[in-house]
Amino acid sequence: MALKSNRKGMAISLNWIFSMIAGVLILIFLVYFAVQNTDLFGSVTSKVVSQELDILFSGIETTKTKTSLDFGKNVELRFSCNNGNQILSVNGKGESNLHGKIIFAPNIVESNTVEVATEPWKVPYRIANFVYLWNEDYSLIGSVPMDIDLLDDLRGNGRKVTFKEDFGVGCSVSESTKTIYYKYDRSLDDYQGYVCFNGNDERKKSEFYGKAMLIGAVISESYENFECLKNGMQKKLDIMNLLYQKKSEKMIASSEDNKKCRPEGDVNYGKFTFTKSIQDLEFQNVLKRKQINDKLVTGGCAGIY
Amino acid sequence: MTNKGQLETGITLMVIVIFMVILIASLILYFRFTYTQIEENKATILDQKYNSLLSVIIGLPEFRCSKTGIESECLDAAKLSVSNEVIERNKEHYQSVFGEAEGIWIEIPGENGNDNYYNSQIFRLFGEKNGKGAIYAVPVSLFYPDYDTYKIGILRIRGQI
Repeated sequence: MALKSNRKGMAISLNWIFSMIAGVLILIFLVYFAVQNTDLFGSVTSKVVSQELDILFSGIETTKTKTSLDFGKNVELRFSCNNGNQILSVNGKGESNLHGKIIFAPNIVESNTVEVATEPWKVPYRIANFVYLWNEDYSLIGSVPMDIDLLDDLRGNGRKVTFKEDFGVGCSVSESTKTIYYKYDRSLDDYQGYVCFNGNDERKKSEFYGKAMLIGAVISESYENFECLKNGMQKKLDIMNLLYQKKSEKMIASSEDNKKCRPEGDVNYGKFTFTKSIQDLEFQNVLKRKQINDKLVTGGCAGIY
Repeated sequence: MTNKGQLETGITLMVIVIFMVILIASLILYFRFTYTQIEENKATILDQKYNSLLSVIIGLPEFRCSKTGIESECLDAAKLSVSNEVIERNKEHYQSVFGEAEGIWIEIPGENGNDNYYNSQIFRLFGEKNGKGAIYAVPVSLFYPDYDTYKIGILRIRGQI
């Protein structure tokens, strides 16, 4: 096979060299194709799973529910949040936007089963249902609210979350753990307060209103994540405020409603005011809206919500 | 190079060319098959999405009705009549909520469609009613709070698959 002086020998050698080069090129191409193909199917599967999870979240988002998701094998779900928009990726691929949903979850959930639950957020009308997703327990210590069922489901021996009643002391716990300070209102059966995400660091303090946000504060991993989700909630609050404002204007103009609407006192649709910012939500203004709506309804009016 | 040598090189070249042609043809076939499968997956997911969207819309607080402050299994016609304006003002948000749906509306059979919302024949919620695409529909109960009456409506979604 070696190069020989006669011309026939030269021909055989060139054929061999040519075939080997062609063979190696074809082999490289096939290996490259196989690698790309495997990668493509990984990406397609991740995209399909993330889309199906999105559909699932949409399905459960509108009802109050609690369930378990069994993937059959270990799956890594990554949640990131950007200006109120949440992105979900499965196994590091297939990013999908969660379309205005509010999902409280650790940044990374890696398991073959995850727990999913929902809770309505009311002010006092429902703004949205929050979705909670978790795969680990939380060690809930201190004055844990007793009437929130979901907290019992979250309770275990994992990350420490301290509950304290709010006496207006700010972030006073020096340990670098998450502490939730809350007040309870019996007539609204609801909670408000603030979360200190990093011990006594006042810069990592975030206010909340309602049971749904309180549960979210337990699961939220960081101050930044919680604040980012609040942007999404603010958007929903703005929309619902606008909608109820338009509805009340319609009811004021309704001749049919005017025939039978006789609320007690000086109550009317115009007295129903809206809280524009999440930061300003508190028992007093929520209770006022509830009382006005109750009086409108008992006075034969349509009711705003 | 002898004639025989040239012939052998030619045969080798021909074998490689034929091999490459078969390889490329197989790859084209394979990719077309994979593409069809991905398209089918997409169609299945969109089908699931539109079906799921019907129940999502029924459950959204933007449309849900309530009596004495407690939510019921119906849609509030007063909210529906103003929701188009609210949705238009928050188009970007609802574009992401409704995804690929091109039109969402509620028809009320048997109405004459005059200016009063009580007699309205249709409540347009999002996008355009007319166009191409499959229609998904579900019957809904509509509550007119000032009239304190209920009517039957049909919630329809038009979406491209």
